[in-house]
Amino acid sequence: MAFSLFGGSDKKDAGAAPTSGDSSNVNSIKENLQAQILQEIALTNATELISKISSNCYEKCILNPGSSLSAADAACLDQCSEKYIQAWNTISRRYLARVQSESKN
Amino acid sequence: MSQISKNDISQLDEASQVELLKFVESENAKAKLQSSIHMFTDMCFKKCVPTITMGSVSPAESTCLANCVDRFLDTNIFVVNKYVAFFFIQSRV
Repeated sequence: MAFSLFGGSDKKDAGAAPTSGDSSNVNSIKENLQAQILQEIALTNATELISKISSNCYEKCILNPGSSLSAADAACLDQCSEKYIQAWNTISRRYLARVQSESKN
Repeated sequence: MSQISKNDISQLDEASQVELLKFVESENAKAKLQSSIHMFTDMCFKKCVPTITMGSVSPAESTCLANCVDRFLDTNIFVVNKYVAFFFIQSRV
């Protein structure tokens, strides 16, 4: 079981299609609400990830803050952020596997 | 995306309201897991990745990350067990 980081992209834009009749109207309100919730969650998640990457990679890459971002600093930040996202995925897989195996017991 | 008004929500029938409630509960549970994953990654990246020498996680780092999560959870279970027993004894005195 894995969650996509930026939320469900499989939901189509519920508000777009014009609807007729009461039950389809209810459905469109419901789907619209669900889509908004998913979007909020995805945004929160992305914001959190970016904030964590910034603090961790600043710590590791910008050892002596100079008057501008050097090419070496930028290269380090680039590698560090790639690494962080990989680490996120590794940990996500491991944690979810553990949660699943614990809940079976 | 258009905003949902209070009026829209009151138009929902009971079945839809129940369905939405379940949807929110399940998304909430997922969000809690995600939030833990953010915390673990932050913690374990600091422990397992001392310097940035390449743009990918090495096998040794990967093992360290996995062990880091597992041992944190073991620590959590250990502490819970220790104090649950402690409080249980206290509450019987």
